[in-house]
Amino acid sequence: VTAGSLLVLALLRGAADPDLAAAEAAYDEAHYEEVLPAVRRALQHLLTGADKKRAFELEAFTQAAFDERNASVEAFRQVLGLDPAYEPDASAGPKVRAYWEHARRLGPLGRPPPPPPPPPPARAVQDVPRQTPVMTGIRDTRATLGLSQTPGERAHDEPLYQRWYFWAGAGAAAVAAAVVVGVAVMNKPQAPAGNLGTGALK
Amino acid sequence: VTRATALALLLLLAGCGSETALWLRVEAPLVVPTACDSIDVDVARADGTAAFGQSYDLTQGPQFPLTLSLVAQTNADVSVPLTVTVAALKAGALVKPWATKSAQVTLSGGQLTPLTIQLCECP
Repeated sequence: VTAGSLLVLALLRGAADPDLAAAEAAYDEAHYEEVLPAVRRALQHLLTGADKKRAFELEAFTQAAFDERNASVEAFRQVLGLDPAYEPDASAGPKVRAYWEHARRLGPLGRPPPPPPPPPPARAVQDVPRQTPVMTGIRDTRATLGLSQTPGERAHDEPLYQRWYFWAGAGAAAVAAAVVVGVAVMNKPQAPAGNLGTGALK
Repeated sequence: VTRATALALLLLLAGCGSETALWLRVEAPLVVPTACDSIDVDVARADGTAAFGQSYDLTQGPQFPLTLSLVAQTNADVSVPLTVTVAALKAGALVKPWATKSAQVTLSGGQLTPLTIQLCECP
């Protein structure tokens, strides 16, 4: 197949792209291993919608011939993206039609994505907590410092034993207890010693 | 925390309370050591068991009145009647018939309980 004959064939078939014409010719001659490279080359060109659809169609048929189910389905989905009403020729075999049916269930590819859903309606003004500039400034400063809560909020969430003043109070109480005990022991009333001394009842 | 600390302090203070003791004072018209060279002191419980017994040599003094503190080591001698007996001796014998006397006393917990025994020919 020469380039000249391909061009003639392409013109006869109405295909403007020589690579697409080569793919058509290879497919017609059942040279399937040549179809896909030609299709890929053609898809790199600026094709008309019809040529692009035909390129994907040839890819789908060829992948089906190779029993490449997923690749065939994906190619059919590309075709459906270009022509949602596409349907294989009646002469297509049951395997090809099955892949097409599956592609149709999955949906077309290559279509522009649906527009994003509209943003939720803004909350009513009265629902938005009021923020003074000072509060905003504090929040910004906290964010800069990596703080998620103000110190007061953190102290409120911490358990009692993790607060500094708990341990300060406990330490002060321990010191006071030690002082009181020491003084009590040192000032413990002792029985005075008489001029005969001190004895012990036993 | 405050209540627990206060309770601990109270218990500590209770455990560190003052001693329970007897403050014995013995008076006698005797000159040491010419008229009396020793004195015996005995303390007996109500069941007759001896709580204390000691003889003090007075050849080096002191003179009357003699004083002695006896500390209760356990609560067994607290709030129970004790009998205290003293005897003034010379060469191991009573110096006078009246030179011995007994008195009863009951110790109060944590307190120094005074007891004075007069050895004399007084009524």
